[in-house]
Amino acid sequence: MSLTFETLASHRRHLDQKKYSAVELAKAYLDRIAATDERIGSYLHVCREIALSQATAADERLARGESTPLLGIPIGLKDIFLTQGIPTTCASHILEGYVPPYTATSAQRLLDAGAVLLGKLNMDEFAMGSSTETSYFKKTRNPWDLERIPGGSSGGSASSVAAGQCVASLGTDTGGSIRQPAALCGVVGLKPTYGRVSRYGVIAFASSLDQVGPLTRTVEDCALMLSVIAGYDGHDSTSNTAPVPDYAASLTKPAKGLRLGIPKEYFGSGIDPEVKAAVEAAIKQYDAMGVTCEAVSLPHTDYALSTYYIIAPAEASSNLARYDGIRFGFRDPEAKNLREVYEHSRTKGFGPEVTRRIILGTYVLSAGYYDAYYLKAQRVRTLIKRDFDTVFEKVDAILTPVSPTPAFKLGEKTSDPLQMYLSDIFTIPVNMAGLPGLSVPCGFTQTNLPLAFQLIGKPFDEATLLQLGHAYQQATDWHTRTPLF
Amino acid sequence: MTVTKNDVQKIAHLARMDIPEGQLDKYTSELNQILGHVDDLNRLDTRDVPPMAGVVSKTTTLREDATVDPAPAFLEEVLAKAPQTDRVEGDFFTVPQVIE
Repeated sequence: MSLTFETLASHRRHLDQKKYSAVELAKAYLDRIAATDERIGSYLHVCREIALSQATAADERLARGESTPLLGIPIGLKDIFLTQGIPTTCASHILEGYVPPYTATSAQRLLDAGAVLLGKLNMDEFAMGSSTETSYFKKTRNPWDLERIPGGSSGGSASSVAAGQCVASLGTDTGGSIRQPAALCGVVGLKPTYGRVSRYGVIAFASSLDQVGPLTRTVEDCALMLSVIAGYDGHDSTSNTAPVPDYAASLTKPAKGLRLGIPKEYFGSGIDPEVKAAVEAAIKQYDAMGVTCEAVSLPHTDYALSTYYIIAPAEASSNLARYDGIRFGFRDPEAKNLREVYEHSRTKGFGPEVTRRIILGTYVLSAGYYDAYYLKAQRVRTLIKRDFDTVFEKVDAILTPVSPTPAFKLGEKTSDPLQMYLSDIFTIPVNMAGLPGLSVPCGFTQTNLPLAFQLIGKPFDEATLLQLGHAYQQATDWHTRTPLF
Repeated sequence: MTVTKNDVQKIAHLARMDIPEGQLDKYTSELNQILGHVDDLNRLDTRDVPPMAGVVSKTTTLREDATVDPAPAFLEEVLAKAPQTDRVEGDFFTVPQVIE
C-alpha cells in the first residue's frame, strides 16, 4: 500500500521504529499533494515551509524518546480554523487575504501534540452547503469519481484523507458537514457531542449547532485524534467540563451485548436503494456480532429539516454581521459613505448561498415573524431532542444512513436550494439534539462510489460509538479500499 | 405567507446588504419556496413545549475577575488587518462620518 494511504496508527509505529522520519513523511504527503491536487482541489493553501519546520521539530522530540499519538503526523485543517500567520478564508471572497492573529484551540492542541500542518482545506463558503460547490475559490472533486462532489461543507477535509493527501483532518459539522462528506468519500467522520471540543478560533456559522471533529481513515485513528482535541477550554463559554475518557483504551471492549436502535423514520422512501441495502447489510453484520438490533421510533424526524433551515440561517445572520469591511476582510474601495461600506462590501463579498441564508435568517428573526418562525422552530427542537432522550432509555446507540444518496454529480443540485438541503435529512437531527454522530464506511455502489452508515450516541458517549465502529471495522474491510486515483 | 420583492429589499437592508435589481426575483422565489417548506412546523402543537435555544451545560464555569491585557504587539497586528491602511489612527479603526 502506498505510504500516504497508511493509517495514523501505522505511521505512529513506523515513526517510533525509525522506519522513516517525520520530515520524510511530510515530504511524501507534500509530494502527493503536488502530484494530485490540481485535479482534486482539496487544498486552498499548502504551507510547505511551515510543515517541514514543524516536522523537523517533531523529529527532535522523537529523538528524545517522546512517543505521543500525533507526534510527526501530517494533517490538514478545514479553512474555517483560524491559524496564526497562515491565510484563513472560510472559502469566501470577504476573507480573501485574511491572515489571523491567533490559532483555534482545537488546531493548537494538535500542533502542540506534534502534528504537522500540511495546509488549509477547501469547503463550502462559511460552511453553508453540502457539496463544497459554494466555495469562492474552487471546486473540490470526489477522488472516487472526479465528475462528482465530495460532499460538504468539509469537502476538502474528506477528499484529502480519501486521496492520501493527509493522514487525517479536522472539519466542522453544523447540519452534517463532517459526516456527509466522510460518507461520500469513504472515510470515517465524527461530530462529537456539542461542547466536547472547543469552538474557539473556529469561524462561527450557527453557534448552537457548530462542532469540530476529525475525519480519518479508520475509527481507531478517529479515537486518537479526538483524545487530543476533546476537553474543556476556558475560551469557549459553551465548552463542557465533562471528563475526557481514554477513547483508545475502550476501543477494543467487546461490542457483544450492546443495543442498537433502528429508527423506522430513517428508512422510508427517498433513499437510494444501494444506500439502503448497504446500511441494512451493516445492521445484519452487527446482529452477527451479537449486538441487539431493535426497531425504535423518532417521531419528529421529518420536521428536523425545517427546524434547521430556520434556526441555522437565523444564527448565521447574526454571526456574519461582523463582516462589515471595517476591521478586516474585503472592503469595497469605491464606497463613498458608511452605508455603502457596509452594503457594498457585504453584497460583493458574500456568495449567493450565504446571501440567501442571511436574508432567510434576518426574515425569520424580524419583528412580527420571530414567534411564528424562530420561536416555533426552537419549540420543535425540544421535541426532536425528547425523541432521542426517550429512545436512549432503551438502547446504547442508534444506526441510520448518513446521506440519502451516494455522491452526486457536480452541478446536479446547484439550481434548486431545497434539493441540496435534502442531502442532510439524516444528519441534521443529531446537531439539533447536540448528540455525537459517527459516519463509518460500509460498502460501495455498482459504480464504486462509497456508502456509509451513521451511529448516533448519548451525550458525551463517543466511546461507545468508537467501540461499535471499531468492532465493525475489525469484521469488515471497506475502509482499506483506496480510490484508483 | 408570501414574501414580495419589496420585502426582500427591506430585509436585505436590515442585513446591510443591497441585492441588485436583476437578482431580486430569484432570491424572492427561493425565499418563498423555503418558507413554504418550513410551514410544515405549523402542523405541530407546541403550546406547552419550552423553546430550546441550544444545548445548555448544567454548570456555568466562571473565571477570575481579572483583566488580561493583550500585548501591544498583538494590538498592532489586529489593527494591521484593516482593509485600507489609511483606516487606522492610533489605537482606533476610522470609519466614514456616521451622522451626516
